[in-house]
Amino acid sequence: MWCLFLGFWMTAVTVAAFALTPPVKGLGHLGKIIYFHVPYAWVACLAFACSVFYSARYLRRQALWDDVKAATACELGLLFTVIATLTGAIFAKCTWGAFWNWDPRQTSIFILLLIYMAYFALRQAVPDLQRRYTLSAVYALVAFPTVPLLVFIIPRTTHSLHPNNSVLQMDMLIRMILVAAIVGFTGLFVWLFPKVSAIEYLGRRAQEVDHE
Amino acid sequence: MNISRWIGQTLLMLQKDIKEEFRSKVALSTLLLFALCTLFLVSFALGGCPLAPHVAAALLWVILFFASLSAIAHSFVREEEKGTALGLRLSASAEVVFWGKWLFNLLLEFLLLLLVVPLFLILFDLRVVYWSDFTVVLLLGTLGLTTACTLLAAIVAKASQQGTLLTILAFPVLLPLLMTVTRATARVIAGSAPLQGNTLLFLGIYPCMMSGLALLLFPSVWES
Repeated sequence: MWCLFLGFWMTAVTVAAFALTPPVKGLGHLGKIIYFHVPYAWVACLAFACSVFYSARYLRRQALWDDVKAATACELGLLFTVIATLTGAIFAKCTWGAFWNWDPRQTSIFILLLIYMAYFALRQAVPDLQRRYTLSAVYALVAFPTVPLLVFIIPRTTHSLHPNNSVLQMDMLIRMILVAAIVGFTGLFVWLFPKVSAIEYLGRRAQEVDHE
Repeated sequence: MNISRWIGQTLLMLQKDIKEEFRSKVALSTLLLFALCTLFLVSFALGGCPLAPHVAAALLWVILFFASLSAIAHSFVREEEKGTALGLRLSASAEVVFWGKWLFNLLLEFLLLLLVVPLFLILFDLRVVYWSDFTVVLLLGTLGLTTACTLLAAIVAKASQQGTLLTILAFPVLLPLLMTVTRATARVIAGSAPLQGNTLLFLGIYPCMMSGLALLLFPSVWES
């Protein structure tokens, strides 16, 4: 039932983002992409954090569900990261004139994309199932420290063209809609996650039955 | 297990790997030949034109990164291929295996540095302004590279397509290190700035972080 409420929330956020908000200072109407780009990037990092959590649990408990959830979190994270990269590139083209110029934030989202792809490449390359789950869980944990390094530390130590995320300086209305968008997209992830995990779990059990 | 016994076993591991390497010299030759070929190719292509410091730094780290990947993968893959992995699991604890392999890879890396860096400076006619900073950046960068790659090589040893898979896995994990170290090397060669405090901090923290991860995670990988 709550997904109906989520639907209304997301509709309201989208309408508000386009119709109600004023143009962002210095960026004009182009700035409205932040209502979509920022939530996608945030959920991409959240998905990775979930994957790391479930990977750690898998290493401790060796339960199939934990690996299913870790893999699902990575799947959804990959999707959100691709969208965040694309929206970021569009924004870059409109404001800085080039789709890609290795700005530290662009590099960090690109690296997150590479981590996800490497995770799936590893899963493909290991034929034995138990070993696959263990090795991919270990890789998620190894790759994890690089994300806060890239997302938070390096952009602050080097010069970046990326708009500074000084949320506190924003206009009240912009801040509210942005937070609402972030909450909405997080809700979207929370809604998708159990559904996709269940599908994945059932798929694996079906394969097991096939092999027997 | 007390410390001295542990250290003794680790050094024994190192000795075993060195002896095995001397028999076939696969890792060493891959490492050195790749590095030398790349260096000479670029030097020839440039034909005496000077190389800008940031380009030179990038080139140096590209050579070190790719040469290391090919050689470090070999240390674990060889165990799996020759069938000695099971014997190793029975006779030594996971920590001893990891640190023994790590020491061996570090030795290979130092040999690589000893050969490549002087040639690099000579062939491209570079005059390093801050020598001590340059050495520190190279050593710490190599330490971080070795630690991360040894852990990832253990993961990759049990998969198929080890060569390409290690590159795919290692690149995102090593990128923060490579970005920092390339920039620092460029600055130190050009003389625009000596090694900065937070760069040194990062270069010191990265190997420690990777070692910590290895201590926690290697046993799961080794015993899977």
